[in-house]
Amino acid sequence: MRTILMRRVLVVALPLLLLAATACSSGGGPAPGPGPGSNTLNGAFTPELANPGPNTMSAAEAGTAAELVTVAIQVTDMQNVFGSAFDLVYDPTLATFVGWSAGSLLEQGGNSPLYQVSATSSGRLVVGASRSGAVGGADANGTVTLIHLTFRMNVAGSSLLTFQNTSVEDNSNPPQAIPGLTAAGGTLSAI
Amino acid sequence: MCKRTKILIMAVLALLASGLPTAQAGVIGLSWNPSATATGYQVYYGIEPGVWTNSFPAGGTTQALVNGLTDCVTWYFAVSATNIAGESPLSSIVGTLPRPDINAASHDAAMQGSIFTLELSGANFEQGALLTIDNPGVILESVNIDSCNGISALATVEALLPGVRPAQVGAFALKVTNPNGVHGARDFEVLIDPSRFNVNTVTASTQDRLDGLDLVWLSQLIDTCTQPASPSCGSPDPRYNPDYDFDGDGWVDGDDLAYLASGWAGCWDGSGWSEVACPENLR
Repeated sequence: MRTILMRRVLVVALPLLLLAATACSSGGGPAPGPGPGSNTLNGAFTPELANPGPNTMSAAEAGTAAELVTVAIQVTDMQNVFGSAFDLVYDPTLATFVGWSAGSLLEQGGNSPLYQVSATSSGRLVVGASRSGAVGGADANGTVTLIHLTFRMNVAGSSLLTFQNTSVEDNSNPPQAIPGLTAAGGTLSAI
Repeated sequence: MCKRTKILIMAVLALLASGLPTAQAGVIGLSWNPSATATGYQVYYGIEPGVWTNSFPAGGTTQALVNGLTDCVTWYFAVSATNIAGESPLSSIVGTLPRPDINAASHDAAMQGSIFTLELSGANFEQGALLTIDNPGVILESVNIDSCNGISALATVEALLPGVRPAQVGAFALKVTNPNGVHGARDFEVLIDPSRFNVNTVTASTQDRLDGLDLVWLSQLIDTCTQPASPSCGSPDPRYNPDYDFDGDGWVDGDDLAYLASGWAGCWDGSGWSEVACPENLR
């Protein structure tokens, strides 16, 4: 039992450690505060869909603090969600990815989900989020947050935040994409 | 009246199969049964049985390490017990080559999924010797004792095919064991094959990249294990899939997840995972 518990800890902790070690622009936990000398910018996020419909993955503003913008990646009305994979593309001259924190969707039933987020140099976030083990999928009744992503706005302006290669997977073995998915991003901006 | 202590005849002299210094040629270990009334022992040896060109006192212990022996020559040994009354007759005679010594290998490491001819050089390899490694995923076949100084074998480091449990990564002891049980060892390292990290190859848009789909697929099998493999695997899980067990330790676990994360967002460039190897639309 102790070994199994240790493995659980590793499974949860390793992605966080790796993120901290390998991606200078990524990491879990609370988003960092404003940087020195950058308090003249105010960030915001405008969603493409204000009221997402069923079978939708969408982005919404979850909070702002000066130049920091936290975006909630949400799933609306989908059943048996085991995990998700997607890219988010943005203008890296305008915004920098600074961190992530877990949403509530995948934690249903006490599961310890796994997350992996890394930013490429050209403004692409490659995101994976998954429940772990031989468990059922989670149900999104209404709109439920999968993960929060925080960006720092570098300069005034706006950038589309666009989903690519988006998939929501069920708990089949191996997992299968849930059909009929719609993805809707939005716009990051700073004034 | 003074009664003299009798000396018991030594009955058994044996060779030490292990416990010898590593990376040293011309060495053999001896052990013998204790004699109840002995206060010391004397070791005799030479290259002809009964012709003892060398001897030394071994003190009160029942083991001795003999070094400085010419390699690839059979040496003969006998032991006597001593006490105040004198010296016993000699024990039975044991003849042996010095301990096998592997001092070089054509491959000190190999990646999972490789097959190659392994050539070992050294000394004291006896016809009939066994070549083994304490990793069941490394298969040694067609072992040939070429000479006292050379062994060759065909080595396969699993997994050559999908669905086969890969050899566990790490350093393992490669052993040459002569027919009398005396062995020498050398480390051999199994390296992970990073090309296996891409478990989801069915989704066309991202099939060549390490990304969220690979994470989701791996996560579903997390904490599954197989036997015989890992001592900590209480019972085998039928869902265990060796294709997800990158490091071959019998578990799909956080270690495998960490390997996946190490190449995250990268595409295969022939030797590793890198962002620049990805097509433009995935960078």
